[in-house]
Amino acid sequence: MKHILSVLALDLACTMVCVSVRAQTDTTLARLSEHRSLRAATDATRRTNPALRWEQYGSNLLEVAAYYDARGEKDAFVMQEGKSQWAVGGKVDSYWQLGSKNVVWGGASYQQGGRKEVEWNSSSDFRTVYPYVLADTLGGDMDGERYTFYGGCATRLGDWTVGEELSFRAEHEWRTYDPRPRGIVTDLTARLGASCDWHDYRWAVGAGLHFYKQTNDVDFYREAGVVPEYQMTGLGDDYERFKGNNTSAYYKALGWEACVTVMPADGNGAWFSGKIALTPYKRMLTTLNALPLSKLNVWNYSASAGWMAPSGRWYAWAGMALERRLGNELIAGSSSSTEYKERGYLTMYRNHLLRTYAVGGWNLSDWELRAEAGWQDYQATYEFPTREMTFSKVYSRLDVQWHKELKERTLLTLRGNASLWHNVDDAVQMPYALMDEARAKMVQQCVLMVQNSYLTAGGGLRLDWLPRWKASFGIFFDIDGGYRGNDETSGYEVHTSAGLFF
Amino acid sequence: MKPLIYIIMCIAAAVMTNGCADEYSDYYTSAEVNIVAGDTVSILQMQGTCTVTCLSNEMSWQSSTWNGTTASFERLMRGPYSILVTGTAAISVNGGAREVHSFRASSSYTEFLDHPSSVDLPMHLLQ
Repeated sequence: MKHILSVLALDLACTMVCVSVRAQTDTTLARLSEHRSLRAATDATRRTNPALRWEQYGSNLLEVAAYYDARGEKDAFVMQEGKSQWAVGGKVDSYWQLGSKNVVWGGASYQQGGRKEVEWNSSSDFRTVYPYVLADTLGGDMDGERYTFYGGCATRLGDWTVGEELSFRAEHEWRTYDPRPRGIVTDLTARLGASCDWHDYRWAVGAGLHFYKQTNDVDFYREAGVVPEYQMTGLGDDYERFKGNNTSAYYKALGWEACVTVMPADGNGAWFSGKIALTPYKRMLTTLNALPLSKLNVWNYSASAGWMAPSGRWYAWAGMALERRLGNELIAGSSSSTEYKERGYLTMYRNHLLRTYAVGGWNLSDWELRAEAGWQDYQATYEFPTREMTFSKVYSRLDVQWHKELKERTLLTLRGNASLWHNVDDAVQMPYALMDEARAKMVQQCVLMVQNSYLTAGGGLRLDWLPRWKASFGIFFDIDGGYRGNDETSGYEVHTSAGLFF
Repeated sequence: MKPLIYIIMCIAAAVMTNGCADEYSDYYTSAEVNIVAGDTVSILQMQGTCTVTCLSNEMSWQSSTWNGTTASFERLMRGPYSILVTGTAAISVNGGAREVHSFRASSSYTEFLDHPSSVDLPMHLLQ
């Protein structure tokens, strides 16, 4: 721990003083191209083990930027996340080599933002903790702020590389009118990895821990407008016994992950990577003496294997990613005042989301192409009363990136992407006769959005400019936009950032 | 270096065994509701409706067929229940004449968790 902290402090000190070894203009543009290529973005997905980040890039880069992100939809794709969202913030990211044996990377960001028209969700981090959220029929707009920091270090010792990494996110969401949810999230991931070079291959193992806590409560300042808050348990069902006034809850999780990667020592050739992770999220009701209402076990499995051509011209790989959720609900015993005994659990909610895909990339001087095709399969069931929702989609995606050096001091990068997600199969089974009108409408809308095909298209532009008198740093501007649409609804996404790079 | 790999594996194994996912698939059970009267009362015949409501999800089951003084439910979700029985019974007090009364029996909290479950409810006679 001391070692990590001192290295992180050294990293920040180095970047603030801006000591740079490389000082030529053309090398600076080459550095930018290396860090921002499509190939680098794809390569990063197989390097979650911190030890493998030692040779991720051959050059250093530090970026300081201010950014603005926004998205908006006609009808929300996911109503629990709101119809639109915006965020403005600042961030720092760096990857820096210290001597020949150490590489450090780190960053921090702070943003403020909000969401509009969030419905049927009074908790934060919906995609992380669904289906166990607090919900009401009113909803509203949310304000939020988030700060993150991360840092890691990889050290080379002979044939071995040791890496460690810490990443942290704190988020705060609230609403300033009734019903007033307030969510505070603390999310910390610590990873440790080691790799050994043997027979021209790098064999790496890594393990990590994930700490998560979210406190979540809903207040009503006007007594006349109090609506019941539901403890949602999956596919539109809720825990009837504790609905109404139990508006204060928290989530707690301690999860683990482990990964194994085998890749050629020079980064090119055949490679394999596998990862498994489990995070059990416990949900406790504070008003009932920390009653553990539910326990959501989230399993993540992923495996991929592929080939990176030695020339750097092309790469191809195939993989799978599976997320399984098992939701255990409490059987609560009789109460003495507000203390309920735990009498057992039942695994009422199960879902899985499986994605299998193949990716191919091709690099030709200024052009980069990346094509991906795959299959997505989703199934969610609730035991009693029986509810089920399934769908399968086939998807394909194409990314294109083109860059050009203009006048020796400017790098222009243009990006384009398009994808098609086609829904091939779906089924739904719901006890609509047992649901009230608002609930049935919500379930029908969610099912309609999720069991639909959609098309996305987007493009972006980036300009990096070096001033003549200082060759190793410069200014950049980036803008990225996207469209997503289908027969039911459509939406847009915008990301802009501007700042300095070193 | 080998000790470090060993440490990583140990951390992974320790956390994996502690944070293992548990799955509980024991969803259903059968239950019996028995109506009992005091020592001095013997129940000669009865009819009525027994409604059990699961407190967790407010789903309810009803049964109007009685095997003597027992109503049975073949398949219920395991959990806490509230029970209400209303009906008519022919009783005899201390071996006396046959009398017909309405009765009511209830419980605000009963657990149907065992395989099978049963509960005895005292009968309250209504005049």
